[in-house]
Amino acid sequence: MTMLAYTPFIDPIEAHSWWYLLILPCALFTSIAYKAVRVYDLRTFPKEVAVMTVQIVVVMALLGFASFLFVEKVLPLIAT
Amino acid sequence: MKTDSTSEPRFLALLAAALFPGLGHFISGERARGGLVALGVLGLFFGGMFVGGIDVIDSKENRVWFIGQALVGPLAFGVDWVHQEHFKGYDPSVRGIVNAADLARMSRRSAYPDEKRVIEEISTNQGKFRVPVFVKAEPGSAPNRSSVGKVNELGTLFATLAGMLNLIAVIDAGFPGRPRPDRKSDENEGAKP
Repeated sequence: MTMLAYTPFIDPIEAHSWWYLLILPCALFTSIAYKAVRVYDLRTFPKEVAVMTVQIVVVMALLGFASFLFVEKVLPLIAT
Repeated sequence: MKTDSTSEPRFLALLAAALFPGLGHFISGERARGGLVALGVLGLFFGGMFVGGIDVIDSKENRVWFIGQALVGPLAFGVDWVHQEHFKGYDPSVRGIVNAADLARMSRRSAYPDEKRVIEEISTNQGKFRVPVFVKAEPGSAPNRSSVGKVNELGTLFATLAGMLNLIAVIDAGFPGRPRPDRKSDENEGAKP
């Protein structure tokens, strides 16, 4: 692995082995931007952001698992 | 009939929100909300650049995704300009071009790992042009490392999500819905939810 002259924001990070963890900051910042507009009272903002972040991560994980089941279990049944 | 002035369009806020994420809410008196919009949108935009490098903002080679990223505002166009003008260059085959129209049509690309970017003078039928050209060099001389695979996909997704969420924020700043406790004009006009 080469780390020659790595410049943040210019060069990509070496996340090829743990890329799936990047869903966490993605879900967090998405929730912050969305709930900043949607919440009526900002006092409830942290709680709503936490709930939405967890919802995104859990639903994406379930969708990923459903895709896994479809490709690994259902498609072989259809193919035979 | 009594009308709620807070639901009237705010064109100054709309313009400000389009210029910089969160600025529309900020100048409307919703400073905390504007700050949070900026945190979310800029966090995604620069998060995308952190993950995938500057390659994820590319209006030439990634035009469809850039349409979404452009919704972040002038910032996205500025980053794209820096990318196109300071990191990309022409293939060495540009040296064989003598027709200026062909040079204008030729697209720039990102550097390979064993290339460096130099400015060369190209002679055409319409005069000489100084253009960036990639030449062979020691590995690691490229102006940036190319972003490929999952990090490129995720970085592009981050930055595009930033633009789409900023569109929601721009609409909310320009066309406010129901009054909110932190909206200053609501307090001034005695508007209650």
